[in-house]
Amino acid sequence: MTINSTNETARTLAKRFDEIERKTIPFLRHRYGQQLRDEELEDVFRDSCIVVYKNAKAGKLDKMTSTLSTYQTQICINLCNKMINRKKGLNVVPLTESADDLREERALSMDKVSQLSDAVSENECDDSEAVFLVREVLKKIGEKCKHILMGMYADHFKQEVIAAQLGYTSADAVKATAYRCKKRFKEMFTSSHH
Amino acid sequence: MKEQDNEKFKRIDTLIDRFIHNEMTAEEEAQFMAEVKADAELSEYVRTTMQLIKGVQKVAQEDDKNMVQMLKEASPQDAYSASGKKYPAYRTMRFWQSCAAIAVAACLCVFVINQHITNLRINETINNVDLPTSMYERSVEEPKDFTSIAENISEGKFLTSTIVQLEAMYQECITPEHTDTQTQAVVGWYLIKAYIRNGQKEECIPILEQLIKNNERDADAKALLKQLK
Repeated sequence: MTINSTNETARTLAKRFDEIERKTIPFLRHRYGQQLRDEELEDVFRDSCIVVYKNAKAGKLDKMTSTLSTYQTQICINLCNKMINRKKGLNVVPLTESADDLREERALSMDKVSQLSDAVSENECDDSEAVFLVREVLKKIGEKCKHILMGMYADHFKQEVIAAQLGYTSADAVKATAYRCKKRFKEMFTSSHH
Repeated sequence: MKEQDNEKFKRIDTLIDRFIHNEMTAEEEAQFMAEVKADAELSEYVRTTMQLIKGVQKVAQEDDKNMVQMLKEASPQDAYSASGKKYPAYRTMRFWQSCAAIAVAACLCVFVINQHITNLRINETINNVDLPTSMYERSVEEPKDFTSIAENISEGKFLTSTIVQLEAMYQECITPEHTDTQTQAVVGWYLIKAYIRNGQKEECIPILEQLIKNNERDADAKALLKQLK
């Protein structure tokens, strides 16, 4: 019984780590591809999973100011810098817990979101129902669109970061795809809603 | 028509983006709100966009909360397995296994150190034995020359052939008709040195016993025999 539940936990964690890895590795390759090999980047990601695990155990993730995905990406950046410095024979490792260089400099105001939301609200469905519908739509909308929408509105990643994660050449490509994704989301959400 | 709609929503998207990032003046905000409220299609578009933003944030928060909870409850083995990293073997050991491993390692250390000290003592003992490089036998006129043998032993060169040569000389010395114990002692000690240099400590024992039998006051032989045993 214990063995089964342990395997189940490991499987669920692995699935979530895989999701984060799929966007983190291309981003790290874009940023550190000149200095680190793919195997080293994969090692870095695996190490970051253990760091996240230890920090969760230590209660450091109880009050996070960013999403887990942003947090883990920042850990990967720190580990990459550490590895590069070690290769260069430097001992001084500038470690930072901040995710500022990954996130949009323009802060999204949730007050403004609520204000606009209230202004157009028709009280058609409550919040939990809306969240359920959003989750369902995100499952069906496709990996790329889910990634862009989550990246923009949950992780608050800069468009350059999202472009690197998806292997796009420019942030403009993200902007164009984001518009199409929002449109698709609207269609799917409206049809689910009705 | 479709093209016009696209342009309209793209423009509204930009305005929504500026509004939620608090980049509009009060006048612009009022104008934007009025425009949205006056157009049902725009209202619907803005409503869905707000539901998207709030929903996506809520989904991420819920997923992260569940993930953190799961990480907190997960065992180290689960975390390593999920990350694809190999779990360090020593971490799976029980307390008694760790103690046993430490005890075995300590015994090995003591054994190695003890061996090293014994070797040092043996070398010190045999280095103390002063041997002549040539000597006369009573029955033979030509002196026995040990110069090349001594060189080979001290430099560790041609040890096998030197040992064969010394063994032949020693066998000759210990025959019943050969009673020169001094020659026996010199050849015996050279052979012992060669054996030790070649790592054949066991072979030294019968020679040392013979040397002690010939001369009970041979302290070096007694000391070395004790160390080798």
